[in-house]
Amino acid sequence: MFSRMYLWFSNMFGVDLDSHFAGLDCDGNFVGPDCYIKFGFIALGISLFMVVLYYYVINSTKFNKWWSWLIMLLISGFANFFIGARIALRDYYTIIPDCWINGEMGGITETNCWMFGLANFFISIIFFIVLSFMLKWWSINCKRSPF
Amino acid sequence: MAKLYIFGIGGTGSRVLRSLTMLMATGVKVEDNTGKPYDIVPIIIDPDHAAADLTRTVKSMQDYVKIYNAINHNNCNKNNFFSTKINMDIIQSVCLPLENTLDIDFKEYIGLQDMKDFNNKPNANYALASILFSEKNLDAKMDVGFKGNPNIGTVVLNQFTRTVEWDNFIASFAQDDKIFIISSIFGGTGASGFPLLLKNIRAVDENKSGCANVKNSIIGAITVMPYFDVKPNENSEIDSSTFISKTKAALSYYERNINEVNALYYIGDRISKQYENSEGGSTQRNAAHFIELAAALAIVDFASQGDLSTSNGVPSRTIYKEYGIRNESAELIFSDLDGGTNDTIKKPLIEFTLFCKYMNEQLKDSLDQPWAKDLRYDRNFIRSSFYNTYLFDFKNAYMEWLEEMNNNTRAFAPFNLIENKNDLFSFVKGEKPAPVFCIDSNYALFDRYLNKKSGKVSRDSAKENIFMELFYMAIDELVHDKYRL
Repeated sequence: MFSRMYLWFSNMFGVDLDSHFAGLDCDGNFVGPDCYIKFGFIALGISLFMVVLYYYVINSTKFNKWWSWLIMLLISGFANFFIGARIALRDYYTIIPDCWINGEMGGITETNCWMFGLANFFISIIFFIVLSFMLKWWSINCKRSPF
Repeated sequence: MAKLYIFGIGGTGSRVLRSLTMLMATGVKVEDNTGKPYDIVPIIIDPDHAAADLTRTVKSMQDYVKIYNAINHNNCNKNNFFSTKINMDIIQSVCLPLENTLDIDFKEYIGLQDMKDFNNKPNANYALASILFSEKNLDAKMDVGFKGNPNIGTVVLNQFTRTVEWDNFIASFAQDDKIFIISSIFGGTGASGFPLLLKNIRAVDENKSGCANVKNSIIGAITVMPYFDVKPNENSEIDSSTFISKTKAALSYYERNINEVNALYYIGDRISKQYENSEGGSTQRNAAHFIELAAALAIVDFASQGDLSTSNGVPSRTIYKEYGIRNESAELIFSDLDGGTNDTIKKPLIEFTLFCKYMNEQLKDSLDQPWAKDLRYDRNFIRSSFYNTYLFDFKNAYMEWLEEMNNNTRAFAPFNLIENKNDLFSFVKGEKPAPVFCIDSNYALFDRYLNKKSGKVSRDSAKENIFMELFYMAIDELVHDKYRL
């Protein structure tokens, strides 16, 4: 499921980085691991943490406006952005083989790593929105947030 | 339900009724000794129908009744605000009308000009009237009351037994009903009206239906002794230097003649406030005073008396009570009052004042809170007649009443009424609010309690009822948590 979601944004960060995170070797064989599972769970976990923090821990009448929800969403999104970009950059400098870095589909550059962070940002936003609408109804003070 | 007929005589009568109305709005109950509530039937006896003291009391009672009628009063409801019924159906105008008091002076009223013999010379009646009433008395206009002349009031007030309203009072009076009479002893209307009213109740016309119940009713009364002064004014007939001597004379009369009440309450205070000298009319607008609040508490106390009885128009015994405070202070707060008073008024006053402050300072900013959105309280509700006319007007009248007591001398100033959104719960003087451990404070905490209770309030009734129920439930718990009440 996570791989499919990241696939929606693969044009942003490039086919070569996508292949690397999908666990393919330079010949296109799956050698694992599928990093999207890790990224997906991290994004989901951070989003869930932020949603629970907003609706059930902070749960404040002062901080229950649409903009307060947006702040939490952006915090969640930027956290995932930096985590995604940081892991991609670390892999870029350490373990990604040259065949992907100089791949035929445009290869991988630092920009691709930052764009992967951006993709992670959007995926965490999707998680945050879905989780918000699943969990907000039992919040006493924030159930009407964002609307 | 049993009824408690409250006769408010003169300006003091109106002002005590005003205090009682405010207390009942806060949730102070007027109940018998078994906890059954009384319906309150207010009856004002005052020839000065334009007196501001009277008109604003009647306005507050009318708003109270509108609010009372808009909310439910069954056992499922927890709301204590406006929970005592004021019955304005029996005497719809609230006032007992006095005829022929407008635009004529006293000598015309008693027909002094006709007290002549065959030779057109003053007769014996004329001579008697001249002894009983001074020239000033005889020339006195009565459209603004009796201006401190009980001898005039005794004559003029006697006519109220000939009114339809008096007949309605007698006809509606049931066996379990009680009567309470509020009067001052140092003025004109109250001092003359009380003994007269008492006499007319005990010697009620036996041809009228319901007369036996009235004759054998349980009657309580409060006599308010001087607690304010008026500025000297040569053009005014009201001279406060006579207040004490009048009081002494009247007390002496009461000692000998007032033995038909089951309970008699006395209250007074050192005179320390000087009001503007107004003979009556719209300028007679005395600021609310703690004495009036304490006098209203006498009604609550009287209602709860269970061992009083009357047979053949004669009480089996008369109880006498006075009121005292714990600490002599120029500015009273709750801790200066005795335990019994605090048990009765402290929590209701704190709760209702908090409710009023919220309406004044916060409500419009909180219409986006879940409690408001869930229960659909929006700008339309704020503009509805229930909120915008009755509740809003009553809230203003209540805050004005508090302000007046706050600024009076002796002051009753248990609240800081100035807006302080950053330290809301310090508004009760002398009380240290307990901490409530959560991220919200002040009005945000208030909204938190409203949100919490909005899921628990029954939605099977009108919006007005849900509004009052929700606020009462939230405030009750909030006050319990913050002030341990």
